[in-house]
Amino acid sequence: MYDLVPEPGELAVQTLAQRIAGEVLRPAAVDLDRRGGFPTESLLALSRSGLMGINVPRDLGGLAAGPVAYSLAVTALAHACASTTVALCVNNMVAEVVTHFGSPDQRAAHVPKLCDGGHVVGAFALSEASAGSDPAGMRTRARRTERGWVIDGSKLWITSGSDAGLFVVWAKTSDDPGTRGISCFLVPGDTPGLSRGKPEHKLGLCGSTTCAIEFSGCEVGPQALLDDVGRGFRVAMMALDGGRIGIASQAIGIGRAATQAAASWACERYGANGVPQGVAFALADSATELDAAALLTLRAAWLKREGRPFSHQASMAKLLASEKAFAACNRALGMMGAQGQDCDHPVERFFRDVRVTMIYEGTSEVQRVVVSRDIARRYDADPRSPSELRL
Amino acid sequence: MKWPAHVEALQGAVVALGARELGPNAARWDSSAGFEPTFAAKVADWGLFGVSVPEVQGGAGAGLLGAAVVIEEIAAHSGSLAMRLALHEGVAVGFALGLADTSLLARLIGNGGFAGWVGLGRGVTAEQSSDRLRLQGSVCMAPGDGDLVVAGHGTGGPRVGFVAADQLSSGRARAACGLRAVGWTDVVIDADVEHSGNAAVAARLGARLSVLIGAVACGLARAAISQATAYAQVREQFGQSIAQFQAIQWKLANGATERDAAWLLVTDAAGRLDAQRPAANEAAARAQLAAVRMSVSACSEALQVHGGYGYTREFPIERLLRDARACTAIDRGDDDLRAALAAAITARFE
Ligand SMILES: Cc1cc2nc3c(=O)[nH]c(=O)nc-3n(C[C@H](O)[C@H](O)[C@H](O)COP(=O)(O)OP(=O)(O)OC[C@H]3O[C@@H](n4cnc5c(N)ncnc54)[C@H](O)[C@@H]3O)c2cc1C
Repeated sequence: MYDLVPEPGELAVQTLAQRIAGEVLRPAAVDLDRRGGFPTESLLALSRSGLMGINVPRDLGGLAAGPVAYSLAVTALAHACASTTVALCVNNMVAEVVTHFGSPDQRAAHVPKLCDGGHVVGAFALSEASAGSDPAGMRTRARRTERGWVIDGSKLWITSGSDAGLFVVWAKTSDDPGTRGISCFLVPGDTPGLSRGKPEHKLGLCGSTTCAIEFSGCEVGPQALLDDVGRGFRVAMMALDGGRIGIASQAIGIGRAATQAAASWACERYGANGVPQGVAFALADSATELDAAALLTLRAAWLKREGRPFSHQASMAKLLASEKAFAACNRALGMMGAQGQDCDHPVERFFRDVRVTMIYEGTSEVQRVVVSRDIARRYDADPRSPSELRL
Repeated sequence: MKWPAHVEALQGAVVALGARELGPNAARWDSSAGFEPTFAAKVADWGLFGVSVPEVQGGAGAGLLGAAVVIEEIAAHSGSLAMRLALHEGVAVGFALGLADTSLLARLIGNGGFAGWVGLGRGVTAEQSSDRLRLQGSVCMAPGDGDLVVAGHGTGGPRVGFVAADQLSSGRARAACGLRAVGWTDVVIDADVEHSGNAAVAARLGARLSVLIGAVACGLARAAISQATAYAQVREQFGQSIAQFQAIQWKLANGATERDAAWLLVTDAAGRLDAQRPAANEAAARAQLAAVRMSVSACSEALQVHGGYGYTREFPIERLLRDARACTAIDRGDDDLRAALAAAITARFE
């Protein structure tokens, strides 16, 4: 059984996020989207509030509020500004990774700085030009030296790559085939040999930078290695499981914002009681689908909170939330005609922003691979009663 | 598909033109939200104005079907240019043809620039006196910033009139999500016009535009599906080309099937309008409804095939998706089209 009713502490974090969304993120969102760049001011405000380390212990500077609070907060923030929220999501993911896998020294060196803005934000450097869905195909290498490690290679599409103070970087440390030869490193942004590419021009999330990061003879000490040599892939997959709860929550926030904007447009145009079924039912579909996605997301967050396996549930949540949120934004834009196209109206931004949630942290197809593998595994475990695929 | 010889010749010329002149500039027109000031003259030189006009009246004589073929081809390179031509050919040229107004036709086929359209339902009032039509209203986000064909409601029902650019006061230019180079502008209309048409004219212009919007949507989708197909062959993940994954194959298969079905509806409607066959307006509404919905879905799936690259402006696919989505904003939206179709279907039943 699941208990999907958030606890008072979790609701308090949601309220905090709603307040900052209203006071800081929403007023800056339009301008940030237009001029592009990096939301430094908004992220500083988020650091001061503790929301940069929601599921991080208090002694490391976090709120220790858990994954359910994290999901609720991300939804509230993404409702106002998806660009700022993705930087916060990646930062939270990096802070959790270091907390979970780091040595006491690594935690002390980095986690408080990730929570209080000392690192500005953290970045997650896994993907490469030819290794996205299949990170095992990466080419970046780390070579052991007497003084530590030297990293060479390049990463692509790294969120907050322009400003991040800490990068979690994955690299091959041996020729072991598949995922076994991959290790993970903590690389401060000012390390010589690390250089940042220009931010990509994108369809949406224009207020979040997405950059190539080059490592050329980038030397780090032995303390940079996170977890054991060759265990990096496991670190990445665990981080992404949690990350997917964040992206699902982000998608729901954007989808709800679009649905609300379309609903107010419809009520203004037709009168609250006169909205024709063609429009009203479309809004009903969006609201229903987003609520279903929010429940799936809460289930994954709850399982994580209870320390139970949640990997395929997180994939289900991200799959449904991102696809239904896109459908909701698409419907909203479609029903509003020319007014929806107007860049002065937020719905077109929601449409552009939401589209990426079906791509990053594992595409929809990758989520289907995860979920279908789990179905096959359960069937294998009990072929006599495959209909008992209990969720 | 096999076209009449002269339509095929036109199509061939546009294919070459697209690769040479349109494709290389489309991203720039999109990011600068407009064409160069001299561009309309070039378009006139290329013979792209008046494709549907009979040769004796100075056009290419290819009918609305020919215009749809040309516009579909152009949309595969630049959605914005294709939509400007759809507005120009579908509405303004259609208006002049309906009135048999040779001087207006000459202006539209010649160097008069692109003409745009303000359809019914945009709040314009239209009062007909004995010899003139007075059009008044202020319209937010009108597609087009030159001469405008404007439809409005008045005591005598819907009327439509041609308003020259110098009779309009353009407000601020608007940034739009898609079809950015169309020239989205706020306009204040307060004009007395000589030439006007009634509800039937407005409906016929709406139908011509529906067909051509459908053609734009089909061209965008075709480009998106071909780009995704090409990309899927060369992109490798998990040691194989992604084209070998069934998930990708199905996207391409569904996209191609739905796009061809929509294109058949578009060309069928164009043929009916050219031949003035019955139920042509209904066929046009059906074509637009199907084509635009298909196009948004095909472009979104094609973007998905491109993964992270598809989300960046490095590839044209994100522009195709924005342009497809903007097709609903040009004239009648899905709800209007469905209402018109439902009325037609019900009337037939009764
Ligand atoms: C704005 C943005 C921000 C990002 N931020 C980060 C970041 O901070 N850190 C980071 O490391 N990465 C980041 N990424 C990269 C992102 O995670 C990848 O783009 C994503 O994982 C997909 O990889 P790809 O782009 O290489 O697509 P590909 O893997 O090349 O996929 C192309 C297509 O093939 C499909 N496909 C692939 N494998 C299969 C399969 N087995 N079965 C069926 N279909 C398949 C995909 O679903 C997709 O449709 C970001 C991307 C974007 C756009």
